[in-house]
Amino acid sequence: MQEKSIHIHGAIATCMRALSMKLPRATAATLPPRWFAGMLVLLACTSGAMLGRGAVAAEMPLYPTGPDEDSSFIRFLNAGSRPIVVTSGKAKTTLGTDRPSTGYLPVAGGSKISGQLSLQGAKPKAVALQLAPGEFVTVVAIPGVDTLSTPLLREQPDDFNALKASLGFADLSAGACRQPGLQVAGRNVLLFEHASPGKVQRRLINPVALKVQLICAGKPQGLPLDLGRLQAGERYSVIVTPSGTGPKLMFANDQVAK
Amino acid sequence: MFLGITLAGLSILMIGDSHLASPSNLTGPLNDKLLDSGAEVHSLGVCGAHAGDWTKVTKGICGGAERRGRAKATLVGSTAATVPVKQLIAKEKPDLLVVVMGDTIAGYDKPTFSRAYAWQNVTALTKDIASTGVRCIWVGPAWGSEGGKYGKTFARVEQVSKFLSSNVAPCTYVDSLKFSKPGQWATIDGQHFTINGYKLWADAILKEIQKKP
Repeated sequence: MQEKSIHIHGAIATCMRALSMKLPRATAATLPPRWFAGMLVLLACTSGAMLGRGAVAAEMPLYPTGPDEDSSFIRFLNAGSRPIVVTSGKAKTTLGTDRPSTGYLPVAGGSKISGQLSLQGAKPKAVALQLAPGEFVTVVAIPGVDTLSTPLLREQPDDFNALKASLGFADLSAGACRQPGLQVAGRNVLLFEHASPGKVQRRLINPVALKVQLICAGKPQGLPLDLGRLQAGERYSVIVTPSGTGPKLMFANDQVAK
Repeated sequence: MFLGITLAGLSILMIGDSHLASPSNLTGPLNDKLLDSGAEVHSLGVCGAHAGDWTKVTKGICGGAERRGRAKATLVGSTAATVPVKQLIAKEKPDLLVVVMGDTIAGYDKPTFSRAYAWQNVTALTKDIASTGVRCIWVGPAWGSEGGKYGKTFARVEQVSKFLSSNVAPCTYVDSLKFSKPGQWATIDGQHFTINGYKLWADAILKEIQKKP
């Protein structure tokens, strides 16, 4: 049996109020006799009560159906070969070649984050930013000889998919790679092209084993990078970074820190 | 000829939110229908629980219910809490896990759907489920009716259902929106159905589960 969408509690309450109301004095020309009108109301409310006894489920207390604002996520990534110490408040971690990045740390949407990145021999670099709800931010530490630059990669993805792998591509080569692109290694298949500096492009791909080749101004640059077997539901980033031997690719799993 | 899943003799563990938190909700008719099909059923519902809450012990905010087999559901008040799903599965070794969830992460009274939050929450649970290797079905939210104290809207529940359909793997998704038209099943508050509404939903869920390979 199908029902119209009605709020059952409201209907019963209306009936109860009607029963407690004084009925108008009837005339032969207009309203039905008072006793008849009362019977009609009683019948309606009885039907409603019978319907209510069989159809009204237990009322659930009101509870919030989600956060006030979407979550934001921040991570730190060391694009160099020398260790970098990341501090924020009392938290401290070191990023080196064995562990070049943190996972994405969830924070409340709209949070302000401040901290410091330290490279031995260089002046510590302060970092302060505010994350928009739903935003994923990567603070990339790019060491120079005695300096440290910290460009940000910011994105608000909407391609969450447990059946595909999400691959992002971004250029932080500071002009060392012109018209950066990424293609499948050994094949003339472009995954990304003409990346704008500091902007993340993203696409969903099948979860397969993948090797990629950096393309600068239409020509292969450096050696292919083996991304391994990409997993369905996982998110990854390939970032073009500068180095002493020219622009190079860096690969990161965009996982949420546990 | 494809025969679909046979429920007879199957042990089924169900976890979910308020739709499993009262005997007058799904805990009554859905459990009964699965039992009538020959399955063993154990259900746990914690009112207001989000998906990620089932990866660690999380206190409920509005009670809960547990039901084993044909026994009456036990209502749990302020002590209601989730049980980590890996722990549940390791202890009970069910043949099938059924998750009933979606309304609690929809943000019906918020201007936008918190997609990143939902992704983090849902994938935390699905990763834990995947690690156990248990077969899993995820039942998404039904239409309900617009307005009510939760501010449910058809546009938002449709958005949430679409998101879940792409993000609950390895669970197979059951799209409850296909079972009825918007507002067709009566609710008491826009989100929770009348007893008759829950019976209709339970019947549709059972038929859908029986179709799954």
